[in-house]
Amino acid sequence: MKTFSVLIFSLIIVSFAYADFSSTNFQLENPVNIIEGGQSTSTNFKYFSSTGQLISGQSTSSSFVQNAGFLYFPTATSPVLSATPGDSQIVLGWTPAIGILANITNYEVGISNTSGGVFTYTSVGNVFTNTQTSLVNGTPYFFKVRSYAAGLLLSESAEVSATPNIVVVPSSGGGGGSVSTQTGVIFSGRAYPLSKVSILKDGQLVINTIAGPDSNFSVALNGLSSGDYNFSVYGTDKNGLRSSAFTFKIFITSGVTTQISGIFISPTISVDKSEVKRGDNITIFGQSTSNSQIVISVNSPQEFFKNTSSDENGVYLHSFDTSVLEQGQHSTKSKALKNTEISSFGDAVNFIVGTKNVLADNTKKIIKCDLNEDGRCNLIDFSITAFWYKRPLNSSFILKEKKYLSGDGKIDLVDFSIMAFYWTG
Amino acid sequence: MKIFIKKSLIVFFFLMYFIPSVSLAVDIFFDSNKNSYDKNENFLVHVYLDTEDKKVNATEGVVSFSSDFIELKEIRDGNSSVNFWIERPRLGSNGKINFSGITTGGYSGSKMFLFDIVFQTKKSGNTSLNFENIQILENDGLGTKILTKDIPFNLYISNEVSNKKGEDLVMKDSNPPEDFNPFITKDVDIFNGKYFVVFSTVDKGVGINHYEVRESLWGWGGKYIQAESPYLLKDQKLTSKVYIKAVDNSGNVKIVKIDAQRKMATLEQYLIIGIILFICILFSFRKKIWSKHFLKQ
Repeated sequence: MKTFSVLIFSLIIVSFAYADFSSTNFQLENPVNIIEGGQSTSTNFKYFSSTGQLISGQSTSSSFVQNAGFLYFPTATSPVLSATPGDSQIVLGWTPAIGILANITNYEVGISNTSGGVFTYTSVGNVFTNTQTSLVNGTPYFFKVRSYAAGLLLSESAEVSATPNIVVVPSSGGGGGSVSTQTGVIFSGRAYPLSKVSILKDGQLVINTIAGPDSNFSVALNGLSSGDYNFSVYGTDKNGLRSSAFTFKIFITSGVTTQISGIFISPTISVDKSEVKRGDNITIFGQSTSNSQIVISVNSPQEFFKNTSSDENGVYLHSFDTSVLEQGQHSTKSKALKNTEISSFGDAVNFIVGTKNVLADNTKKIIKCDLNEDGRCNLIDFSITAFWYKRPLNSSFILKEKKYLSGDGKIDLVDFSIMAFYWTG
Repeated sequence: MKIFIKKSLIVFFFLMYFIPSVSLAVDIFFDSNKNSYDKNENFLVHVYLDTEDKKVNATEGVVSFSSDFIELKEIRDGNSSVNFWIERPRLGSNGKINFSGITTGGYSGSKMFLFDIVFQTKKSGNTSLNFENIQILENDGLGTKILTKDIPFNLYISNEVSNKKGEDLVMKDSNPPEDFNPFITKDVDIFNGKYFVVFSTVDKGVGINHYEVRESLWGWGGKYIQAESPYLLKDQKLTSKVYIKAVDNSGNVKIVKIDAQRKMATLEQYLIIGIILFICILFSFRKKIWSKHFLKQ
């Protein structure tokens, strides 16, 4: 990996839930650009500062990015943790935590004998798998994974539990003290209250389930073989809008049920105007996990972050003042925070800052790749496209290719890549 | 001394300029347990991607080799990171292995497995496996091309004749292909708007060999025909059950059935039942009919 760490020279406040700036014995008011670096501490806070520019903005070189100004918060998405039991051992695997304003440099694995109990953490390096050995068969264990960037704790996974056992492949019969189970997976995580959660196995829709009123879901998939599986999970909100898919690859062991916990489906997002008059407000709204903190990013030469909350139905709404944006094309996306878990950003939605207000028609969403217009992007669309691969297109299909694929008048790998991105199964 | 510092600075800035662009490249490479073989020896080569920090979702290209030195024995795409093949890796008419496929939702990793190739060495000397026309696209909804670096595999074949028969390369796979959901549909732009069936699955062992389709009115009868998706259905009335059989390279099969989409019209049903009854009656009275006919003569 030849990546370079993003160096943050600006004022950094190390805060896991970073919206809070005051306590009973500490308050940070009217922050100004600070030139000198240093560290201040109180009983509740650690406050780091380092050199910065007098003018806020971003400077880059070939090997680093300097974000000057104040209040930049490195964060990371929560890793999704899986646990596969074996004989006196548990194999853990996790998805990479995606750092924002930071690159993840290390992970810690925590183990506990009780759910929600005290976890003992061990540093394992910048890897995505770890095997816990010398465990007692038949005893349940609980695990968590934390991500770090240069020593800063950025995110933590949800807890996952597994019980080590002597594994017996079902066809070979059972033995004393051993456990024979189906080869499968149990998925659990957070979606939106009472929303549909869809799970794809190697690109094919295999399960639809409904999340509880608390947004949590848990569903099992059995009858698998031993091998690598590519799973995707996405949610559909109360307005029928789909979230971006959370995709991960996992090795499934024969005769074992693997637990995958902490899947945090990113929020859906819409805007009330496709074009907004500069200086007027644009309403950004969507659905997420109930009673969670929502971070909305508005993209422009300078990225703006706004915080809001979702209600008990998971609905959130923020009115954004566009006077800070230049005229032109912009986009916005959102992510959710609940307890110590952080989702990844969902898909971005575009809007124009211009000279007039144009209401967005959120009922007529064109789904890229949906060639047969059934509201899905799946094997049917793939097969129709594959039929035209390396063949001259007829006049009718040229129009479809323009509307739903790359629009270059031919079917090639680019069209299939667009399809793979928008895939719903 | 000044010249040395100057030169060092030039080299430093040159490296600083180029190192970040290298980090954007995705590597495609071969991997094998050795690169020196005897004559008539079978060997296995894996094809992998190292996506660095990119998330990719589409890959295509060509594997070329000298048929003077090595002979293609087998291609295995079981357990591949690609979940839908546009062109399954196969030996093309150009004497090269062409492949093209997608991973829905994208994938990133240092060893993204594409497929395995089994070769047999023919004559001694130095030769290599190479990639051609590699295209790897980012999972960004636009199909952005990623800078790729293809790494060839150089091998040496000695004059010694191998006594190994390549048993260690035989992959035992008793599991059938994965379960799958085929669809019957139609589209104005293909097969003149007629009904067709689409199907696809993956195999976690040696890989899919081929598919077969059978259409049957009653569930029995009808012949399996080797087929590719999309497959134009013979029964355009959709009154037949459709069976799709996925066969892997070890001969394991997974059969999936689609029930008849429409019920047969009552008149047609009566007609078929009538014909069957007539044949049964003829069969029952065949002796009488035969003896009458014989006696007349």
